[in-house]
Amino acid sequence: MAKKADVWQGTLALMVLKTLDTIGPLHGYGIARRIEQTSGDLLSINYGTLYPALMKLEQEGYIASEWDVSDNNRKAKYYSLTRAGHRRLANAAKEWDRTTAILARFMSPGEAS
Amino acid sequence: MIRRLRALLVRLGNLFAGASSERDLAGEMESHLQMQIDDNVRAGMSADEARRQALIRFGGVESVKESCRERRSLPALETFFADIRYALRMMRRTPGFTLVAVLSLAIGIGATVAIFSVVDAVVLRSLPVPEPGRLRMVKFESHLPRAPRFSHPTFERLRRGYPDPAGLAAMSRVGRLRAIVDGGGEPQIVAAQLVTGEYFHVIGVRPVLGRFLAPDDNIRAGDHPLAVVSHAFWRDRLGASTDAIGRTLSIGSATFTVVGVAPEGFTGVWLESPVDVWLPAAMQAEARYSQNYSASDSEPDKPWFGQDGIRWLELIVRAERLDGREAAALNAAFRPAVLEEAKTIEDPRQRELFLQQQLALEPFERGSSGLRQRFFGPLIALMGMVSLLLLIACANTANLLLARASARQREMAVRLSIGASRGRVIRQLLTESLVLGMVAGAGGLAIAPWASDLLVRMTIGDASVPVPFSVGLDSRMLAFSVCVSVLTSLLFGLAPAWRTTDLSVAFALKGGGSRGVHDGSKLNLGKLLVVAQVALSLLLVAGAGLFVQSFRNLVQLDLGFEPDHIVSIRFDARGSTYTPERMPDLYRRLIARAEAMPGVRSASVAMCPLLSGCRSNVDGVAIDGYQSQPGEQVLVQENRVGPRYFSTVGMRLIAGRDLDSRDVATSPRVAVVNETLVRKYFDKRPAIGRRFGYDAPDTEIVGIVQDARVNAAREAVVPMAFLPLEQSPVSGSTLEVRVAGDAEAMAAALKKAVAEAAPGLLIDRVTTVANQASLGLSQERLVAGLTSLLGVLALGLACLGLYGLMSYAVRRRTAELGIRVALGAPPARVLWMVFRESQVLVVAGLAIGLPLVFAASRLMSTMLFGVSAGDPSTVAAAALVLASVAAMSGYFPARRASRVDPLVALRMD
Repeated sequence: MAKKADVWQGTLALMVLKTLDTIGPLHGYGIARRIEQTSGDLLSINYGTLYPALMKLEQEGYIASEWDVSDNNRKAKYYSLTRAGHRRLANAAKEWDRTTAILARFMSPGEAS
Repeated sequence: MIRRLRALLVRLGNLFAGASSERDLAGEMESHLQMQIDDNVRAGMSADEARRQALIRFGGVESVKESCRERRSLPALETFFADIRYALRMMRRTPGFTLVAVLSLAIGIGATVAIFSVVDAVVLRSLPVPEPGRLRMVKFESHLPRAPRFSHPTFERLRRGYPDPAGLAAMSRVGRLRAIVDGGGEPQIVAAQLVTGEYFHVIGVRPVLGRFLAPDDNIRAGDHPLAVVSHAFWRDRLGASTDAIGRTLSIGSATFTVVGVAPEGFTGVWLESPVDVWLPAAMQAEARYSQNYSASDSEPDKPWFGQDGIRWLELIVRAERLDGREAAALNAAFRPAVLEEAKTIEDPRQRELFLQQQLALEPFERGSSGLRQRFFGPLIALMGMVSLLLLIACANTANLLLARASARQREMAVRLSIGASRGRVIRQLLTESLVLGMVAGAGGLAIAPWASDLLVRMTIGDASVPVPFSVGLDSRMLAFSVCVSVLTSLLFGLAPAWRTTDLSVAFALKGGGSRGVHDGSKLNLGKLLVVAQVALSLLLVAGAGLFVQSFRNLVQLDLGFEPDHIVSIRFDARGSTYTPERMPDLYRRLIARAEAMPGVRSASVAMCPLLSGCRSNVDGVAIDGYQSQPGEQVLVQENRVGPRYFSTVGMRLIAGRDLDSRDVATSPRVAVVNETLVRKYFDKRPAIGRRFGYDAPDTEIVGIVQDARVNAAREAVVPMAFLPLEQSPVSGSTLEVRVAGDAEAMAAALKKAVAEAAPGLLIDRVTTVANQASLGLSQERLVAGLTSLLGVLALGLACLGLYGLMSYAVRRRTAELGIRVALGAPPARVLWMVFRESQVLVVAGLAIGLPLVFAASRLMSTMLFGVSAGDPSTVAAAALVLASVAAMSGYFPARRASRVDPLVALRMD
């Protein structure tokens, strides 16, 4: 089995926001599973990091939470993106594109002019 | 940024969220686990295996929860609040300890805050104007004694030479003038200051209504009847209406139009003389202002405005930078006049000294205050003593905490052994001290305004006068008391906290802590604290003794006259129909009217009442046969008095004759002088028949009167001359009446009689001379009273400390004492043994305290009167008082020790 990578510092919040943007309101367990699946099981989420991160995002007003009932009839706390969260995600995505574009120029071989 | 702030606020809010958020967290973890288990079951695991795998994957529910809790709110604050709650619980559990500690600290803190608030108001506070630090007053730097006053022409010369002509302003002192509002109603006394048009520009405040005086409002003498009123005057006497602008004030011979109102809080630059009305300096003659001036070669009865010989203005500037440019410009403009005047001085050495004079700029941030000068020393001394009291209270509390700490050694040992770090436990203990300090601080703050109000009343010494400046609870006071409380808490909490946590865990757990035998005669912290308390208390008690002794000396001092049974009625004839020519007639009528009243022994008149602060000094007096030294001021204080003045006030004539009805305006000028004048200027040669006078010796000395302290009890007697009032009448004078019975009781009747005898005469103030004498000693009474109080408190606290320490020691040593008694030690021996132990501490404290007393009392020697600093008998008495009170507080624990029942003692534990 391939060694699982830790989540990079600072990117967890972004992944959470993106997940909530894609799926809609979701509980902590669902968010963790979704991130792991999306990464092709290359990432393993530490819950001792995930839950404080969710708390921080909520305190900063990017996400909101609400108790609801799941498909399997389990009570769970559902997180959803707020408007500030949407804005933040859009900004972060733009930032990410720029960063990767710049890095890509450095990394791709033979294009130096 | 704003997001971080939002998060911080949410976390702060969560400090008080309590149990619901904890349930929320547990529920979320639980649902997470359940969903994982569901998934595992769906993946084909058995129920048990599914649960096991879910828990493994989750990785410790409690540790995840803990991470969440740290994020949820602010853990550092959370534990702080928990510590506070615990501290409050501890305080409730030991009410006796709490009461004693809080009470003694509250008294200490309250007294410190009260005295600081007065120090702040009188000594520290700046003027309520923009950038007060830039205000400067123009002073003389000179070897010649000279008041920093300037004539109006000199001011104009300096102003023209000043870089910013609008930046230099002149002002008079605050005078009491008679005013009528809107041309009708009763005349009233207003506090008026005459200023030049630059004054408000230099001060830098803005009017709340109308405008201030401008340079154009002070051009020609008598041409500018304009007035600016203070906010309080506008509110109280002009009805706070916006149409106050344009209303009139009749002052002296002119009718002034109100043009502006000063902002609230700005009452001029004299702390204790708040100004009601500002008038242009050009209106001096019309306003009939004639106070605080020095005159030479001039006519004080004509307008002062253009006269170079009358110096009556003080100068202030607002200096943007202080690079010496301003002072240099002032000196350049001042120099020609100095050179000119120097030519008239014949004596070369005197001329040399005169030419050396310079102008300098002095800080004027806090304005002027006679109160500040007078009370600076006493207030600083009181501040020092009250700090000592606070230190004693701290030592006391530290001692109580130490005693309690030994009772809590088991608790500490348990905390330490189950893994609390020493730092954590110290933090907990310091929080407890902090809570104690804060509760005491709140108590202190509650008594401080009351105490400082009392203090100000005692300082001013006259309950009828409203406090001219505000002393009260403001943000500065609050900040100060919080700082004092925190510092105090650290001071009394740190050492006990350190000691309490420093123990061998195993030893304390075994129960050894409650029966310690390890601190028999060893020098320990508790004993050191008691020694310090005794030493500091001696300092306070001896200081109080010295001040009380000084005060008693002053009260019993022979003033040279008899202050009892004299009523002073001050009247002011300015602006009334009583012209200077009619004054002699008025004097005779008032004296006759007063003497006709039953119960009146005799009556006379004088320019300056006794002990009133009124004084008239004449410089440059020429005296027959006396050759002055270069630079020497031949200074004579004069008073102008009516017939039989000396017998009325009780001064004894020792040679020559009294002034009497022979001495009228047309007769030769005569004077009675005091012994000091004769001693200083005639040096054993007979003085009667000799002459002296201003410029030319034209006044003959006809009598010599015994020295009397007419200015103030503390003030040494200066050369004095008494001139007949009829030969040089003044409009403001005093009727001094000696009565047979109680002077206070006669005052009202006398006032009525004067009002009847002289209709239209303004009666300014009616007091008794005894009352004036008592007012004059307000500073000494204040210091003596307060230090006595502080001394008693210190004594009480020190004894409490000693008693507490010894009782505690006896309780701890019950077993040992029991063994001694069981082995046959007689009770008296046990009693003496324990008693001696306490008294060793007292003797040590006294031995340390005595040199401190001698050193500290030297600092306050200028405040003492008739008793030397470190006066042996006073200090010995203080030590004796301290020793005997301490002996008492050491005796009771010792007696209890001697009555220990050996059986009971040995059965303990």
